[in-house]
Amino acid sequence: MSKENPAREEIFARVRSALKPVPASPLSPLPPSARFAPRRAEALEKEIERMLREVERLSGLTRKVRGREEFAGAFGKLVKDEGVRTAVLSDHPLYREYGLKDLLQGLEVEILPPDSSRKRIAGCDLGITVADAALPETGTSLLRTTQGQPDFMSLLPRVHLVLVPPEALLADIHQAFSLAKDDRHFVLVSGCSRTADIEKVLTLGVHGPKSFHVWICS
Amino acid sequence: MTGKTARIDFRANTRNVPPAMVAATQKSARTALAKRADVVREFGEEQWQLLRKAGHDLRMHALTHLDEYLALLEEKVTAAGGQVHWARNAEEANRIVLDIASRHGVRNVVKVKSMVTEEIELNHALEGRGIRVYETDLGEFIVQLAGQRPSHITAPALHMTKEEIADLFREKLKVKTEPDPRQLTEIARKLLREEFLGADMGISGGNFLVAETGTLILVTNEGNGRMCTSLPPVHVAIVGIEKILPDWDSAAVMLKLLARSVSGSKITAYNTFITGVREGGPREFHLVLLDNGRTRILRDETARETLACIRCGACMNICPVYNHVGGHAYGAVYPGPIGSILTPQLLGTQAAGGLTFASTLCGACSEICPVMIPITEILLHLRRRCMEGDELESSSAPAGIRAAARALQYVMGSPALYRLAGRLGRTLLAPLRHGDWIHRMPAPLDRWTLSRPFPAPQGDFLGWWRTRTKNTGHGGTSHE
Repeated sequence: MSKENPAREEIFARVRSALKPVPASPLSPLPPSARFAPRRAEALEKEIERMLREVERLSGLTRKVRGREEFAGAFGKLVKDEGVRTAVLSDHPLYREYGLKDLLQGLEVEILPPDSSRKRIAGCDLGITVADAALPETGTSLLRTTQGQPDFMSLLPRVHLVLVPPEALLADIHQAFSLAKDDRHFVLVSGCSRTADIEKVLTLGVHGPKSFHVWICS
Repeated sequence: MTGKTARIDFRANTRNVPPAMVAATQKSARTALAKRADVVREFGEEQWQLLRKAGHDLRMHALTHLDEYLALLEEKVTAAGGQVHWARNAEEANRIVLDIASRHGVRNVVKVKSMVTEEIELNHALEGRGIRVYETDLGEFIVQLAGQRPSHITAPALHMTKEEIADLFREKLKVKTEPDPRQLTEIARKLLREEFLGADMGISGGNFLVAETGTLILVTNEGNGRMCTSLPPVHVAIVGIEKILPDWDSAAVMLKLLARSVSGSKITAYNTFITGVREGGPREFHLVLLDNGRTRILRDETARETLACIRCGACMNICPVYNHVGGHAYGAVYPGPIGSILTPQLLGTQAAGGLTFASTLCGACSEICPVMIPITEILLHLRRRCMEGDELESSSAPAGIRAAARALQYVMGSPALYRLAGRLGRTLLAPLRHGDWIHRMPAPLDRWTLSRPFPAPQGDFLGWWRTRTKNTGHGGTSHE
């Protein structure tokens, strides 16, 4: 597009002249010393424990949920504790497995579709997402942005619940990047939005969610 | 840093630093360093050193192949529907952003904290066109409201107390509040929420650019970065050309280094990865690639490593000088040790050469730097440039100092003159000495004796040297 742009041409000329001893070549490989070996995963149970521990260190709330019945109980408690009246959720097969829509209706929580106006989502109590990958080392969930799971679903609501299937756990961020690097947009979420800008006092819930839950669902 | 080159007088700036500023700076630095030490210990010291080495080597690889990676990045961003702009200097960058804004009839802008937009004074340019700009990072929002400049690159308002911030909010925002960080944060949240949803344009900087796929990486904690780049219909990112990474394995290394070095977290709350435009996101994505003196830094093989900086602020936290004077004394956008080498190169040594002397050369900055920038070596190199000048810049030392240095060089180069000068010096100092010490010397040498006595010469050096060689039986290598 901007190939005849004089600013572009001048910047390239400046860069090339600054680097003159380096031969122009097709992209040379990075030196081996610029690489760092990724972390290796431990046994799944240990990885799950680590994931939960790290999320808790980031002031997140965690639980392990096995089966539909346990999920229903835990979810009912979350809705009650957090005072949830409205929720936004994508259309994910995992929700059907847990009968999430029926659960929400039973709890008299209004369901907003992900294509609701941003203003409505901003006023919504709970955003529910499913992690595409999770990193136990840092307690991180990778959320790929799609039309069914837009970025602001995990950002605007007051409470964010991430469901993590155990198979989503990856050893290191390197693997997570292999999965999502060709996406137009994705986010790594680790805990609630936070700041320490005023006198280094940790304050949760700056612009994003004030409360953050991670459930490992098997 | 828009080419206005008023001289930065570091010494004068340090004279009236409020004690509260120093206390706040030290408290913040101490907290950050303690947390950093914990996460580094958990990562394993040996592994951490390997990671730093990888970070250094991949940043230097990217810089020494900058043209190739920039071309690849441009190709990938464009293929993903983004628009790439090139800005040789601050004025050009501001003009590009203003053009985009006027094309879209932009009246309200929400901004993510970005050092590069501070560098080009973008807010000033936008406000000059009647565009309202909201800084949305809490610290930056406070500093903007107070009409001040950030005092630390990752903790912009660290110099203000909660009481001062509460006063500021009461005065400027007409709200009732206690000096409580949580209450103050809640006020900013409510106010800025409306602005996020109503803004016409979001502006960000960028922590990294991944050439492999043309991806912009934003590393944030508060969520404002995601708001600014997801909600408004247009997203403009302004990024220095040096922020490029070859590939995603490099990005993995850098993200591990960055969060740990900034705040002692293993990872920040949010890392956002944006490649061009997407359905449901902003309709337009503009990437403004800024030179503004960076290619000039690249020309100097010794100082080039300055460009490897990832703006973590660890060098500030550990610097004894920064911890005693605070960020504002550096008189520029980038304070602390990195500012002491970056600012003189961006603004020229005529304007900012004094900053290269704002260091004790203790080397703590180089030791903590996650990408191993040899800051002390670069400081010395730039001091030499200030005094002697080099192929990039002429000397910025006053004529008198330069003449004195040349004279000294001449005298030191001739044994006869050296002996004569030594004798003359001892004779002149004789009336001033009291035993082994000289308590007061005439100006300008009184700069030393104002704070401590000067050891009086104990005979002549050459004579001492001869005796010493005789006594120890070998050359001058023994230590007594």
